[in-house]
Amino acid sequence: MNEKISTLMDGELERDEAMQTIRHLGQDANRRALWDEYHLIGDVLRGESSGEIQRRKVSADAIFVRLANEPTVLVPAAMKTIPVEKKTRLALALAASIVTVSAIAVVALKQQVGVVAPVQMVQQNGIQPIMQVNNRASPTTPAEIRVNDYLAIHRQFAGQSGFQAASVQVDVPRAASQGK
Amino acid sequence: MLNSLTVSIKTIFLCTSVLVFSIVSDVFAQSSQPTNAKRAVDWLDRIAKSARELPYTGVFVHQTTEGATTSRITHLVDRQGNEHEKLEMLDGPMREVVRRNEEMFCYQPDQKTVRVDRRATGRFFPSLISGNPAVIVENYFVKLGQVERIAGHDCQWVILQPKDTMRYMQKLCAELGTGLLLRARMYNERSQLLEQFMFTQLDVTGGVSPKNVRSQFEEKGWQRDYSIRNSLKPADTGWQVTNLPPGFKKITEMVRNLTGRKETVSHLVYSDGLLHVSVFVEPMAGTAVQSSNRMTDDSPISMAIRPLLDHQVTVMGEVPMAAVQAIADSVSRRK
Repeated sequence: MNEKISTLMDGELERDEAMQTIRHLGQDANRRALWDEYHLIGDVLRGESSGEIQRRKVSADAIFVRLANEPTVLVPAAMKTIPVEKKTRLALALAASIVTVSAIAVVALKQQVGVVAPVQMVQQNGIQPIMQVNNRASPTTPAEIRVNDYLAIHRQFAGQSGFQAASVQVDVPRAASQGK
Repeated sequence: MLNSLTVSIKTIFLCTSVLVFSIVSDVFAQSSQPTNAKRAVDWLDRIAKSARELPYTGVFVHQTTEGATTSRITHLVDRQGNEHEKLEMLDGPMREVVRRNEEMFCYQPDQKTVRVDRRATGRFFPSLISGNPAVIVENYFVKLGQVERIAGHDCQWVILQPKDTMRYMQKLCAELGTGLLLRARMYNERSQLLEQFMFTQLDVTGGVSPKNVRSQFEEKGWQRDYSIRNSLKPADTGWQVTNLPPGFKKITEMVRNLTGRKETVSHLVYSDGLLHVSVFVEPMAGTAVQSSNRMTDDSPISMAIRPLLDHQVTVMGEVPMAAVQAIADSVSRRK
């Protein structure tokens, strides 16, 4: 049955079989959950995951476990569709990351009302106080560009393309950019 | 007299038996522990060697909580012993990176340029082990895990548990026959998965030819941008780190230019054989810098920034915050 769900998702099931599988899905909550998870796996593989994972409160670990059992999800047909939507996806990833950052920032700022200096932080409670995140969407201050450069050099721009900009937004020391 | 003699005989007997016992238990400890540890070291050796020496081609997913990227890798060693590798990004902007030994050519079709760089710090799957396994095991407890089937291949899990708080736990899964990594995972101290590489498709049967490791854009005659590579000058930067976490050694030290900026930047690279840390030191052109540490909760990269005299120190790497902090706090001028 699980195989049929997967095949249905790929749109490769004959009409009759498809109808039957859909009926089964309708009757069985467990299988619907599986259907959702298959989609999520697809999203993860296409890099559309961050927002979705948060919305659905699915632990990344659970997805990885699923991924472990689904090495064949990445069929050639699926890969061909990737370049078409790359721009949207990048934008989505970026947007998702900005949303995340803003959320963290709100929490952080609430926690330390009146504190102005950049704060030593991190590991005690896992929440990063990030100062003044309002113009995070355009990393154009000298300090931000500098950190971007450093990160690109460290990662050697090869293995992890595409998501650099999103990750750097959290990493910028705001204080460093205020002098100019 | 007799009493004291008995006592001394008893003492001698006791000492001897303790000695014999400790020798015996030592022998036992040595015979059981090293075999296990040695097997683990052998696996690390195989993992490092196979990634460097075998011909292979496959598709892998690199997953962090920021998202996933998919790449195709093709690897070949030619008759002269030169290592060739082609990495194609299958999502995001089209990119191809062709590597010949340590020299990297990054083909960027959107800009019709080829950027040339030297490999130094990047984590490149499946070649994640850069150091000597015998040294790596000084800082990690290494043990063998289960054998599992991944992407159609049987593979052996090797678990590296850090001995201190200066590095992350890693789990590596190596193909039984060849030792090639099929999967690699890195976890933070709360056992949250930070990063994962995994082959979803792999061919190690040897059908790789020299043209497979050349870029499809090679003949386009695009402009070659050597500015990065030419700006790299292996040099004594005059900076040092005095409080390195155990096992970390300096890999390289250089002065480099950053695009669009006049001042050069000192770049020092440290590694424990698995993880890399970059230290950047540059003059602070009149901008006040305050200390800060940054790490997104689930990003594999930690970063610390420190003012130092009239310079700014930026430290980043795939290590816990404690490690980048220790390094950032101990950068100084070499006497």
